[in-house]
Amino acid sequence: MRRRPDTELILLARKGSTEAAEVLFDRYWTYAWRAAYAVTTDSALADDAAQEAIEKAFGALDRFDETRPFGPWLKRIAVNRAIDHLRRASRQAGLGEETATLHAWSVGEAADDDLRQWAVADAVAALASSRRTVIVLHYWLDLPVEEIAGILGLPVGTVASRLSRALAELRTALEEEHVV
Amino acid sequence: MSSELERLLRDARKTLPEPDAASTDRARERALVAVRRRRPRLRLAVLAGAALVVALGLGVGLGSLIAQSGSAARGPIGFGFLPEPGWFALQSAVPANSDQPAVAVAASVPFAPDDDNRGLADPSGLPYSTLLRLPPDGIVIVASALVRGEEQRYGAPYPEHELPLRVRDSVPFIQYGTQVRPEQPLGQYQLRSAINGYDVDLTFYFGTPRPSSALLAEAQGQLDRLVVRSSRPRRSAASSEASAPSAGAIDRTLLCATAPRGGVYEIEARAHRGIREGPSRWKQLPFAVVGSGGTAGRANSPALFDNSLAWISAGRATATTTVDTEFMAVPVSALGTLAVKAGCRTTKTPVPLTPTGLEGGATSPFGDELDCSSPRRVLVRVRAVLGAPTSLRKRGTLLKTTIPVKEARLAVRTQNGKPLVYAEVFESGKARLFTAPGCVPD
Repeated sequence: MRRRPDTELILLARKGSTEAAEVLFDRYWTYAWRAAYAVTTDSALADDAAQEAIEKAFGALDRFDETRPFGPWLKRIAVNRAIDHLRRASRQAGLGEETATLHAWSVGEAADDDLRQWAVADAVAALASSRRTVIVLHYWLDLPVEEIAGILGLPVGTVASRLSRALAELRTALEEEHVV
Repeated sequence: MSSELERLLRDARKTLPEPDAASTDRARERALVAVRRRRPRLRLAVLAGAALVVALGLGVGLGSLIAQSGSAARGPIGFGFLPEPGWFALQSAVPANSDQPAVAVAASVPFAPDDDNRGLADPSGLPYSTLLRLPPDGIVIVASALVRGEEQRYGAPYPEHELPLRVRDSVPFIQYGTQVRPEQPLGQYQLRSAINGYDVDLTFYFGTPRPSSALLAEAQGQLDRLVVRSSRPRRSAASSEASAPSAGAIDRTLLCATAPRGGVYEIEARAHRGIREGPSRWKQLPFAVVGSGGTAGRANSPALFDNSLAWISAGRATATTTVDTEFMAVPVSALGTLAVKAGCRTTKTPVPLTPTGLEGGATSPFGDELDCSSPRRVLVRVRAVLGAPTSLRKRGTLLKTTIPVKEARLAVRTQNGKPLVYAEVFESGKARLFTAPGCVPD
């Protein structure tokens, strides 16, 4: 069962196979959760968003177009849920009271390259939420600018300019730390 | 420099943590519950398919059919294959509309019992078991047709073609070739065409990755017998709205497209009760709205309601009276008192105005908001008693009125009759909102 392609698992899960659904879950859960975490930078929010996404996706298998790949579809659901949670959390915390936690990850035994990655992750975490989100969606979750615009409800030009400004800000920050 | 930074950025994703075990266990449980929850629907679909076969066996005309293998489709519904000698055809039981495709399948080999028994129960029309056993000289053609609707604006338009279509216009499309039978890949080709008001998707499956010219010719012979009748023109809510002013009442039932959000089709329902700012003045009218799709626009602007399928309010507004809350709050004078989406189609399908089967009740002044999974089309009914005769006028994407409403009710159901949302508002200021049990607060 574990070696079966997604299409087969989806068809079997539609027929009610719990085993197929579990394999599909194991294949994509971490992927969905990391997408949600990348957007929210908060484990609790990522838990909620990714769990909702996986529940929605599995509950909607009948409507899923199996000619399309399952992973990106689930990722989009997770990203959307994550953004919803992030907005709600921002409203509750009050605008401007962001507490990005990417920088709080502990650095383990890392080679130089790893340390550079942590430094970049720190710099990304330090960005303002609006800029961090477009960077994460584009560079970590591989979403094209047009799709990011659709998800965030922004004009494509706005997303492009946010990306450009975020990159400039990152470059400045990382140059100061001699990472680039 | 920039590319180096971009490379570093992409590499930095490796630092993302992984979910903990507790979260994973919880998610697994939710996923499996979600799959189990949809089992009854599956059984219903299979039962419906079985009932259809029985009905056909008894000679009951259902307006469509699962054609007997090796015979032509009887009572065509406008879309299907007339099988060549030695071919076999299946046809879906419902005619196409702009949401639900009609599907037809032709095969040069007998359908596997699993596919034959189930007919086209699978909405994709994929005869999965037949494809798994397709011999090297076997051919399966899957065709699906959607009435060209407003969805087409979201993708590149299909090229206009006339029948008969040509196999040689198709292009390799390997997704199923690698996924359906990875050990023995199928040859798979896709052809998209706009024909007689339909967007038609054709997928050719060959038992071998490189079909011979003889196989292609055989496929062409069957493709020549594809029937696509003209789709009938549809009446839109906008075109049918040139009706005479009603005597102080509006009652509309519409079939509306929903929009995907994160890949899942859903509707959003919001409602709040009224807030008075004096004995005869309202700060905020009682209000209920059902929409679908993302919201975009300046805060407190009517554009925020462009995604609405319908909204209702009640009471007499002043120039400053608003509906909806927070950044969505908009003056009634700018928004109108009641509206339905202009792009929806009028329908005579009965939609009861009742909260039966739904959960909810009186709303707060600050509003309740829920998201509900939905099919790609929903039935929306709005009934209102107004202070004066009126007709709805087209304003942008909506049909609106500005006449004060005494009371109004709004119901949303699936085309199968499953209730999704019910809301009602009264000029006393009360508002009630009920939603399906699976809806989640936003």
